Amino acid sequence: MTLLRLAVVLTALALACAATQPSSPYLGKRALVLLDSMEQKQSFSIYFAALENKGYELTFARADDAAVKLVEFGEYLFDQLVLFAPATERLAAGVDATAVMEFVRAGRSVVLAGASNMAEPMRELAAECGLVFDEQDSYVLDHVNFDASDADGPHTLIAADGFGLAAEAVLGTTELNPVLFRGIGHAVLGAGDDEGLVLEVLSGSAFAYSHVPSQTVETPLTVGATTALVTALQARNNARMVVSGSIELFSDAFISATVTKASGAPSGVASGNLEFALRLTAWAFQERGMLRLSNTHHYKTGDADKVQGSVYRVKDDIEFHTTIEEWTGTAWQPYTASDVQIEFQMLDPYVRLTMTHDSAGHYVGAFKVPDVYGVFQFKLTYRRHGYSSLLYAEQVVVRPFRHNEFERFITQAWPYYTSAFSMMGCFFLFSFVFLHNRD
Amino acid sequence: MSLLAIATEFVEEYEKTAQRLKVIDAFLVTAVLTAVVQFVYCMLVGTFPFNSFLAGFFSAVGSAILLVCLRIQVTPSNNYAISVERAYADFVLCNVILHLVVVNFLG
Repeated sequence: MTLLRLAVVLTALALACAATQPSSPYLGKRALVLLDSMEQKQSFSIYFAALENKGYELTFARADDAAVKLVEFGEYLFDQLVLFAPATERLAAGVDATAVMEFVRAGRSVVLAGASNMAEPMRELAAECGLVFDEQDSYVLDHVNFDASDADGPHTLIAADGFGLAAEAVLGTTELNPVLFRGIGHAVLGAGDDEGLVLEVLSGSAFAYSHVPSQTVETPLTVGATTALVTALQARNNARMVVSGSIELFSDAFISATVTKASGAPSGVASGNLEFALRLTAWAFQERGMLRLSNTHHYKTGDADKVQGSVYRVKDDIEFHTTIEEWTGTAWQPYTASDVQIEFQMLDPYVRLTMTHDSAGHYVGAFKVPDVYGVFQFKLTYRRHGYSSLLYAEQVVVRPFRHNEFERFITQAWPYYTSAFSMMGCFFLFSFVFLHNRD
Repeated sequence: MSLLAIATEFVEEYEKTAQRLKVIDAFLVTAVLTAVVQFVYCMLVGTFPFNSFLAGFFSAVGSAILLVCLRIQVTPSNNYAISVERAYADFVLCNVILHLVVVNFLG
């Protein structure tokens, strides 16, 4: 009896441990790590150990190993891809640029790290996503915010704390120690557009620029805060990709180093590299910032049975209900925000309403159908930096009044009513006068 | 001839017309005025409900037309072949049909 009870308790404990490890709501935890050479594995041991602690099964391989592939017989073998192979001249066929972009189109996550000696394959991948890396052997230099240990060097070892506007959403917090960065900078094409597909997580300070240190400075590719160091991308299918210009950012050496900015402050703090890398990877692997819509329905206000109609009438009062949940890493919990809008659209939105919500993540939008009939759509578009996008569209028909649904007597038409009856009265009166007329 | 002279002569000549015709003219003026008022109202307020507007407008205009036809048939100087009684009977029948249609279309 006690043995059985012990067995039950142990299984429960094991399950509980497994349940508390964060994961993606839609993907598994099989990660493929591609390296330039297998000896590199040792230099990132802390980072990989942290990932394995979270429950990810890491498979290590060389990037040009012909045997490694992402897809076999139409099924994906991996859910996440970590590309730590900046110097590989040619990727194996199973993991080349086309295969990786298909991987992203299938909704899976990629972490890509570059270095100063970046070769063509990684540049091609980044270019597919709208990121332009600087030329071979160039570094990001910063003569004000470099780490004190590089004081005699070319000032390529930067203590970066230029967290972008989207960093709060992607990382969860911007209260991080400065991150050590040594590598290549990139420029983001279309950085100012509103789509929000490319988010700058870590950018250079106002004094940073990207250049080859041994050459004289002409026109750097990027200058100041437009120098992107780490960028996060979210595709329209909510697949996530994180691109870092420095592979050393993830390395053991930088994780265990202390940061002392040349300008003096801060001094001697532990580098924020591990926390930054883990938070970034957690976002990339969909552990955070995933939203979903559920239980979407609409009906006429006052309808006790709450029957969802496919046809509504002009000037009806209708309500739109939905539930939005956010993934915490282990479970879905209600998402409460005051800026979720529902649109009622036929070519143009006739109604655009901010939905009210209760604490259980249940949103309601109640409005009057406009005085126009046709085929309308309920549209919910919710795109916020760092969160997966919610796109919902449902078609309904709005019909005009049936002829017995108008008011019986329309106030606007009273002159016409009086004229018709007054003409009848006139005719009646006229006939009396005409017939009894004596000339 | 000045405008005032034309107007005075018209009024003097009009005094000489038969009383029967003057009665028709009076009701004619009413009908036309009603039509004008409705049309102006429709321009200001809009065409909703259009069927009611048409019914009211054409009740006035239709009545005016029928009165004009009756006046033509009843004027002695026209020497119409139909007797006054026959003309009046036609007038009544047409009015009945007109008002039946108007009330149905009024909505």
